[in-house]
Amino acid sequence: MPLLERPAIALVAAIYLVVVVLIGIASLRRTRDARDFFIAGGRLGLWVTALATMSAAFSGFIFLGGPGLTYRMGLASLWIVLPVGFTGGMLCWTLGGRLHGLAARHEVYTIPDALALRFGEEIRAIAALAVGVGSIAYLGLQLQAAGILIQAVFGLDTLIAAMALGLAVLLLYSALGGMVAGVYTDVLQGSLMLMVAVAVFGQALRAAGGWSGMLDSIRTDARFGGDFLGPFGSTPWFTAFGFFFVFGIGVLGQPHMLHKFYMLRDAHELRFMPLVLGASQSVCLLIWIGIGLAVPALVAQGRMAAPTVADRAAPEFLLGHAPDALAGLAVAGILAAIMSSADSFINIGSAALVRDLPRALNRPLADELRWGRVAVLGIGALAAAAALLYGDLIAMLGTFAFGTFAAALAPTMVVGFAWARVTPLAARASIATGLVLNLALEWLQRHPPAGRSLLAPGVLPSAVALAASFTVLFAVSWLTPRIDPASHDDAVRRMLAP
Amino acid sequence: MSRLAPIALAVLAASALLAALAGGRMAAQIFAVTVSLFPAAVCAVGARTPRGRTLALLLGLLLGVWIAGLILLTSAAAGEVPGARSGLPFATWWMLGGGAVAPLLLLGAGYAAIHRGEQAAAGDGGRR
Repeated sequence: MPLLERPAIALVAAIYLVVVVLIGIASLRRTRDARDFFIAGGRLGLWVTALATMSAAFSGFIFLGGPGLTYRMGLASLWIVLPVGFTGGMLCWTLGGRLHGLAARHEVYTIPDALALRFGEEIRAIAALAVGVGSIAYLGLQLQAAGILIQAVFGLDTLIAAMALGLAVLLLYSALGGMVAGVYTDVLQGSLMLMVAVAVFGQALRAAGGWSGMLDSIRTDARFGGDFLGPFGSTPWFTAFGFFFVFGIGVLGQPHMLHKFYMLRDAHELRFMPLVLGASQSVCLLIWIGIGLAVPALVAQGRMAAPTVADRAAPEFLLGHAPDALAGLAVAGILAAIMSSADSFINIGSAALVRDLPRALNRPLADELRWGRVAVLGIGALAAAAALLYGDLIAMLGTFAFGTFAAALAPTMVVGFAWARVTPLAARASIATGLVLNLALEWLQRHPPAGRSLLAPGVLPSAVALAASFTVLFAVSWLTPRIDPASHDDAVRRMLAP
Repeated sequence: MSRLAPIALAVLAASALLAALAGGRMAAQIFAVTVSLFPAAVCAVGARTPRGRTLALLLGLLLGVWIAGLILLTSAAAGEVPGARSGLPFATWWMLGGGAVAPLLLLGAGYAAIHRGEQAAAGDGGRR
């Protein structure tokens, strides 16, 4: 039964979609130049930046993919989100102040801009390519999640039509308002996500018979069993710790999060950001755990049919076991999570296309703002095609997309921006290794030659690519001559201060 | 930054890579230990002051105890794990408490304490 047959739910979702479009239109007047379009003018405070970072980081992956993955593999899925305990602190400490310092002194709008300042213009092309590929994959994941949700809400027949509707709304306000619209909607969306996570968690406990009742139902059902609640279940250690590695360390290469540090008006705002960011992310995870455990419990109790596709666990729970008002709010909250991440990727991807690639080719565009709006359309279409071609769970596409940024950019960002010994050649080699290896291993994992997997069972391609990218960075740095510190710009010398 | 920090990070990265390529139970445990210590080594690379390096070391100790405990807890038979028959197994609480909650408190409070010194060491007043 589509949620459309319960008009209150569809009404709340429709109101939400209209509000974000209106914010995009309102933001049009406040977007005067490329600095506004790409980094919201660089004038944000602690709470806005923290909420925007949280809502950009937590997407359809967390709100739809997380419950779906938990339904499939038990609490071992939490290895993906376990690192929220340290990622906020690690980000602010190792990169937050450094990136803000560069943006305060130079025209730095994108991650390739910062890399070019540190390692020279030769790095811009490979960095822009990595950002472009990762953005398209990540945006594809958001469109897939939006399609699944919109299909349930409006009862559309095909996933493609539902994805097209989500893409249309997204493109409209992203193309109009750029990052100003993105940040304003992120604040609205972040607040909504926090409210929804707490409310849905409470409802999940009520519907499944309380915490003990929920766990007992899962443990005593042969389809799930006690292992479902253990830290690993039937998941190989390589997979669990691969998730921990890719999502814990890989966060240092996620441009949609790093980009937010350019928008800070003052580096001292970073002081309490790890606590604010970590706490708000932890609250959002209640929806992952709540629905992820309630669905198997309800299936075990015979009160819910087993979802045919794991990713539909969340919409089917809301449809069948939440009051209309809460279901409507939850649908809006999940759409918020999807849209807030998607707008970041559209913005970052368009910056890679219209700012970084032309500059890498020595042909900077005269009107980046206008071309930025045009590029948004092409990126949206490519992302939709990528999601349809990948054809797997949201969480698996998310792992690939996150892993692409992680393997390509994290080592160069975190080590290269702190340690003067990293050479430009090492940085380029590390980015190329991470990008190519991640794509190649992912391809070989899904199309094994002669039916035999190249990697040991459970090993994640992106974990191998990330470790290889770090190793190459160090090896090439030690094998190539040092760069004279005097050749660096003053802002870079400060950043590399031991 | 300590001179040892990049070396430690390089050793961890190479160990994780070799373990992942080798496969097998022992290699999986080596992979688990190396990637668990990675966040502390990354923070040590980013640290600019002695207090920063101490905080990175504390994070490393915390994560080291956490992974050692997790290996011990999950090596026991399921029936022997405390709490395995009611509520969440103790090993799951250990995973969540030591892997997420404790680092959040340690780094959240620790970074707030060292932030000013770390920024000052970079000569960064911070304002645009």
